[in-house]
Amino acid sequence: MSIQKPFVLDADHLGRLRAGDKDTFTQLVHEHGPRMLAFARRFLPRDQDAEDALQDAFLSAYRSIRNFDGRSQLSTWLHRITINACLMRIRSRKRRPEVSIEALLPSFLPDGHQIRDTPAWGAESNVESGLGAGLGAGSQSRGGRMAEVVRESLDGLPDSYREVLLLRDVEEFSTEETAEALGITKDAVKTRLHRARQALRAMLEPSFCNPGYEP
Amino acid sequence: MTSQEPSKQQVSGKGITCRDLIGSLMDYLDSVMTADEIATVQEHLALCPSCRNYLESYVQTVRLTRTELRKADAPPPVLPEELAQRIRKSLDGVE
Repeated sequence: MSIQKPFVLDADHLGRLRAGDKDTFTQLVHEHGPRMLAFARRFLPRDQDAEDALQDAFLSAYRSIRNFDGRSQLSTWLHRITINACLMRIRSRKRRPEVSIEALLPSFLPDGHQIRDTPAWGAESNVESGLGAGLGAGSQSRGGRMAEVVRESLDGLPDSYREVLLLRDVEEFSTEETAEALGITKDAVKTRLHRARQALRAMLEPSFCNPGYEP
Repeated sequence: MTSQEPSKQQVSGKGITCRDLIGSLMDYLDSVMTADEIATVQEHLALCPSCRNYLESYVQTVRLTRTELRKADAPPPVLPEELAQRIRKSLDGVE
């Protein structure tokens, strides 16, 4: 196994990257690749898709490194490129049929009150232990059962809602940045985000109100 | 609601309903409301346990999404060697 030296972006490195030096770029791949792969996995649950998106992202970075002016952090610049590569991948694959999320949104009586009262949620620690109950050894996935439940629920959302939720609530893009990345209006971002959060809330509710519940 | 809790007529005292409140949750949480609007929301929340539960679970959902996904998708310590090689090879076709 080769030992990689930490990659520090100084003027010399930047110059070599801009000149298209492949060895320097390979150092950058080793340094930033693991973090970028983690970003890609959030958007593309299948490992193969995430790895393909990462390859697209590095290829795109290599082609456009001349335009990197050094005013932003290199990691921030690569983060953006990775997200764009993931969004391109999602668009290029056959879109899943958009299922309606209406059933996951609260419903109201004609006078505006909730038809069904919202129950209080239990503590997360109770939920985690409840979710773990009855699961055999080795059933824990990356990040634990709670993370798995959140991931499964998120993956159940239509792409148009999932993308907005990931960009705003996980990657912490602003509304403007999200609108620009997705090519939609700021109002559309706000509407989709609120609906996506509500739908995800409804999907998580059984786990929080009945901790032994298996979605 | 239980018998000790306010009636639905009491809850909508100033005209704001559960539908209004849930529809404006994001503005409330993002603090983009006027002081009067905030007071109206808070008045409804004080009287409506169902909306309080909704607000708390909504906030918990947002927080969980961020923390749990980041935990689940922690970066691997190194890039899989095969993937690193594939990326390196793909650069060869670029001038």
